Amino acid sequence: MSDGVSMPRDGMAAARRRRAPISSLWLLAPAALLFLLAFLVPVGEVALWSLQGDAGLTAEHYREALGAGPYRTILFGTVQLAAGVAFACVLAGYPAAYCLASCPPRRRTMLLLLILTPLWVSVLVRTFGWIVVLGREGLVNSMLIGAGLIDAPLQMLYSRGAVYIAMVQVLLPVAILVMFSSMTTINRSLLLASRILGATPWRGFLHVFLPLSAGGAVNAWMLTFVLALGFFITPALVGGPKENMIANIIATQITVTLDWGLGSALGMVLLVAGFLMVGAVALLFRRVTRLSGHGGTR
Amino acid sequence: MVPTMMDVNKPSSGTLTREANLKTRSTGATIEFQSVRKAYGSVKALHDFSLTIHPGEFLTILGSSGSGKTTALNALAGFSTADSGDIRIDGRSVIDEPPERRNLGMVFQNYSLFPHMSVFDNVAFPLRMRRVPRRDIRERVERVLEIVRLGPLSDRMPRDLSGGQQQRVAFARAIVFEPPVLLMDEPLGALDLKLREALQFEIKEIQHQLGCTVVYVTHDQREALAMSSRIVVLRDGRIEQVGTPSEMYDAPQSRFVADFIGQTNLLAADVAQPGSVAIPELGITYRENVFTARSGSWYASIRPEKLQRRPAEGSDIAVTVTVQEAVFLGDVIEYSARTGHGALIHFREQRRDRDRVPERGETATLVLRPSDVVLVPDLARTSR
Repeated sequence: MSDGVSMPRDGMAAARRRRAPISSLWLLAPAALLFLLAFLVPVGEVALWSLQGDAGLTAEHYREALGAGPYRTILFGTVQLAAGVAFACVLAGYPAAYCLASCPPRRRTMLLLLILTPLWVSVLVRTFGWIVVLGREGLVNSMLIGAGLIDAPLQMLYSRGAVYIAMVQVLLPVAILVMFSSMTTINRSLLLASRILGATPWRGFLHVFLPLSAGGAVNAWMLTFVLALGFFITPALVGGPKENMIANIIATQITVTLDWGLGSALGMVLLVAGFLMVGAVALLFRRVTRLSGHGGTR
Repeated sequence: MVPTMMDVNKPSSGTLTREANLKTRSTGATIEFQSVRKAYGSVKALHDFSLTIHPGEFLTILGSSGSGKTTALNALAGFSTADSGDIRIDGRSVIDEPPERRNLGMVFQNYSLFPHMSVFDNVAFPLRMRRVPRRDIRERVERVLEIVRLGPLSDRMPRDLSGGQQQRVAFARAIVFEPPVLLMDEPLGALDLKLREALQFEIKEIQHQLGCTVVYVTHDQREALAMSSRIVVLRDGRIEQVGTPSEMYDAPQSRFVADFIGQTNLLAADVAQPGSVAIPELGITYRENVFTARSGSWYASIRPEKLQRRPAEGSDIAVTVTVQEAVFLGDVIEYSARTGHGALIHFREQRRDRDRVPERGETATLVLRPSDVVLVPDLARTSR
């Protein structure tokens, strides 16, 4: 009550406020340490390997990785596939995320659980599942034959389409979750406002909900794209040797042909390509991504 | 000091244009609620709600939370469908029409400005949805932003505005298409007192100029008294009373309304025979000639300002009290006092210069006229 009591308390609060930025930085330490030891150091080492020739430093591995030839083709193919898979995930996941974000809390919890369950199963198991479904004697073929629609089993496994479907299936929950969480920050009364101001449900969605949720969609694309770039098991199992992605090639260099220099160079190229793509998309959509988090809570 | 939107009397260069701008009066619509019912599960939010709102009227639906006021507004806006009954705007039933076809302006409690659109785009939104030509949109948005004094801020994003400015944008967006009806859902709830009072005045001014019918929802009885041409008090989904602010204040028809609107002393009263009223807690019995209440238990509502220490003409009733507390409020002093029969009552006096303020424990004699006592039935008691 008296000044004598309140003054020191204010002083202490001010001191706490001054110290806060430094003390809260310590909270980053565990993550930063892990990042340093488990990411920066190994990547640095890989970068060194990629430049090491038989006689000192060389750009020869990069010439091989980026020059005209099978590696460049596979690299482009991988980026293309990852971009396509990520796009398909966003396209297929958006309505699902919308549905989740719009439904009442109890049903929402149940649906979320359903969407999350596939994530509990390992990617390996899920990929094997696709072999069962798409194989020569698989579910789809036997159903089609049973229905008399085809005479001989279709070749579905070991194709680009199979890789596509399997990767989208594996990554879809991630895309849904990212978009769902951004949609929950959108204030629903904005949609009511659009309606009373003269917008049909569709135009309200187009002018209000879509722009506000676009940031989440872009984020979902970036995340699934980066994850898809490094996909390894799925293409190997359902794609077969001719549908190799760059991650499979790198693995072969490291474990089979033992050409660590080329493997490292390919790895570095993949890393940089990923950064470039994500950076370009982030730059291109910076207006919409800045909006996410400002989802009209005020 | 908050600048007012409508200082049209002040000689400034903008005055003439602003006044001319408002010449495009839209006339208000008639709104009829006809036996509207709405239940959420087993909870009846609105029982048989019937009300006619006249063109150009400023009607306030007043009630505490859960009284059904928001339900009534949502039914009118088209955000929820009534279980039964009809709603007509200018005689046309809108009950089956979606919100976008009802042509209503609305200001939301949290403003609901589109966060990804500038002030200009927010205000232009209703015009774009109505496919108004681009040229006209610019003109009309600029005109209405001028009215709410936000012209210079038209490129700002909503998050860069203060609460009061956001409120003005929401208001501009609701009136830009000159709707015959303007709905307002506690539009001032989030603002501080000073700003709220300034905006009350401005909203009232603009409504006068536009001539639209306003349906205003609030839980704040002071706001309702200050702004409305008529007030509807809702309680548990039923209309408790409808009337002008002064009718609601001077002639409440139930204990609830007497208590809800303004301050009052509520005391049990017994009507022994027509014309004779006893208020035991004040220790008084008096004759009321024009009074027509049936015998039985009633409540006496006595406004604090009706109890005075200074005798005046007709103040036939005298009550002796012991002063408990005196609260200085600038122009008035509010007292709490205990009667000889143990009841705590409040009275309020205009402060005059050489008045001596009675101290705690001092005895005072208060006088009032029989007509200052309003007898109200305890509806809750009789209906159960």
